[in-house]
Amino acid sequence: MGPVFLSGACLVGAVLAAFLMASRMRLASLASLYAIQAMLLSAAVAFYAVAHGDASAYAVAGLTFVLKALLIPYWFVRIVRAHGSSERLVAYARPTTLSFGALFSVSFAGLIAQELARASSAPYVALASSIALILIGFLMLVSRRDMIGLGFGFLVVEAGVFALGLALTGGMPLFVELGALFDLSIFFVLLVAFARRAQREHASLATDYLRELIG
Amino acid sequence: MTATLLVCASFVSAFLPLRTRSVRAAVLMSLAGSTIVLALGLALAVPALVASASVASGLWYLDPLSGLLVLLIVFVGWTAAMASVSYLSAEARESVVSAQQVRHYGALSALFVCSMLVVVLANNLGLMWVALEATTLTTALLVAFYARPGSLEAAWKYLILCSTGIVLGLMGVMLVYAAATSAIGESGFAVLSYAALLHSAALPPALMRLAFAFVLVGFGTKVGLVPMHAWLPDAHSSAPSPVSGMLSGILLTTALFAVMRYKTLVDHALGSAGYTETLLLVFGALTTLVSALFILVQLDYKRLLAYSSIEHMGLTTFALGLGAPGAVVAVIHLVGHALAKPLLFYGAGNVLVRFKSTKFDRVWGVARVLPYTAGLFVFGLLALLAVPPSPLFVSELLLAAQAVAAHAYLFAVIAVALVLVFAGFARAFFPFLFSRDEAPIQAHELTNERWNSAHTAMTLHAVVLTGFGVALFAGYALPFIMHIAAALA
Repeated sequence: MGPVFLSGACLVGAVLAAFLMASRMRLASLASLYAIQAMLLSAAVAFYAVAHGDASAYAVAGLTFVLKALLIPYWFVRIVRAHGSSERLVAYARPTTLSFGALFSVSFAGLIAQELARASSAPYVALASSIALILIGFLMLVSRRDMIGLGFGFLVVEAGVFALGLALTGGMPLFVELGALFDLSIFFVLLVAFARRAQREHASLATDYLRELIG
Repeated sequence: MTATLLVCASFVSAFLPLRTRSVRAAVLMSLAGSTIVLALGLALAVPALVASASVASGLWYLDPLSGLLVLLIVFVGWTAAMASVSYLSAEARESVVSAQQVRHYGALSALFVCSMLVVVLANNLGLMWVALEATTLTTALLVAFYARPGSLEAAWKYLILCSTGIVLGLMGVMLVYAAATSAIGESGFAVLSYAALLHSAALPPALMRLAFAFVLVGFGTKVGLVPMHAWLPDAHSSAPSPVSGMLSGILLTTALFAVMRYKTLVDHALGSAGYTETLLLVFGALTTLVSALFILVQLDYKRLLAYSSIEHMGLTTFALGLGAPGAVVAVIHLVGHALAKPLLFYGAGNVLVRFKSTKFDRVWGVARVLPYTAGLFVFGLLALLAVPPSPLFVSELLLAAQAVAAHAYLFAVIAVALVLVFAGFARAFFPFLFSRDEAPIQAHELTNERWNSAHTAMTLHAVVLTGFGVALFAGYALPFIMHIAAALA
């Protein structure tokens, strides 16, 4: 098993983690799965770096691991607990329905990847995995009814785009990857700031309270 | 060199208000910082507007189009800082905002201007993407500035929808990168250089076509194109009025500028503009029509102005789909809108400070209570509704002339939308300004309106708008506009 195969296997593992995230309704479970997914993504980048001898990819793998696998899940759980928010999450559909939705997303990703693989020279499995991550992320964005679930949904979409960059181009240039990670950090800080304000104003992180502006 | 200095100056100016102790000092330091940025912006942009060739050096790329955008950003950034002096001072007097909030406001506004300048000056598509995402992150806290019901919701929607849109835009950047690496056979940061991509060997058409679709949907979210526009009316109506002016006048223009850059690249790769123009025409017509319907039923004057921004972005997008003559229309329209809309938002800020509401049913007879504001507001409304000598009259007339022959059915949609917009504005703003009913202000509060910094900012916009309109009618401005529009070819 060469590093290219292992890199692809890590991406498939990341899809499995996202598939499980789609139906999880507890904060700790969602954060743990996100951390596992981020570990697998950073491992995929590291294996790619080994296969191609790309020094900047090692830096991206390291930074991805520290930010996405360690800091974001840890701080998310810590801050939510510190403010006494409910760790029970809510969605518009039942977990079984969401699992079927995720399964459909993975199947659909397989079809889209066939088309994209024809237009580019990227490996099919890597393309299908990254598109599946993006679609599952979108599923979470439209199905969740709380700020935590929506935040994780966005993070899964971002992980999918990150994986797509790896599949299509072997990763974006280091400067762009650093810029994207910096923007993600600021996004996370704002997410936490808004969640804290929602908890203070509505004693809840449910987005049901954010429905005044219509029309 | 001047571009680096301009970006650095706008970044450093964010720290000026943070060191102050009072509200007055914070807003004046912000104004001082934005005045320096204006001076540097003029020094950079004016020569670029008349230059015969573009200049690409390392991180920066300057052509007449980016020069025009720099000019608009620094000018509106400066007038917004000016309008903020009276607006925030009034809000601080009534304890709506604290000195600490005003300091943060000044810093975030300056960072917002800085990130927009990087977008329009970037020679690298990766850097452009990072800066465009930074515009969302710097303004999200400004949208959530007030502790009012709805502010958090607006900021939350803004953050999630625009960040998701920008991430989709990143997919477009990745596809361009994949296309470039396969065509050139190299990788690295320099591959995403706009100047190099413009002159590179044939990029794979299939990837470039897909890239433009992602960029249009992703960055189009930031432009406010329907159906990705849901964040815009909420964010623009919840932010402080000078920030609403900047969001509406220059942020949407900056995001559309990014789409224009990709259009140029994709047309170059495909060897024809048919694909991008079809997408732009459809999105433009849909955006104009849907926003016009919403304008017709608005109950809130800031939301109505926000929907009007969507409508104007729709018209500009439609114009971009009309080929080379359409590019001239788009440039005139962008400048006209970027000058007229902040004027109206600054005026809306004065009305909000006085009437304490953004609802039409709680504000009427503004002309009697706030005569200076009302006079300038009417001027802005007429300009926005394309009454001559507004530059928007010229752009809409040229648009009609181009579209009637080439796309009659789509133009019919645009024409219906423009009639609806006119009706919506007349229905909403006539009683708002001129109702003779007892104004919702107590008699003892009906003191004479004093001239303030927001009026000065509005007057500056009115003067520049009139000057531009007269120059267009007299024929002096058209060669410049055609020179700028050539950058889109």
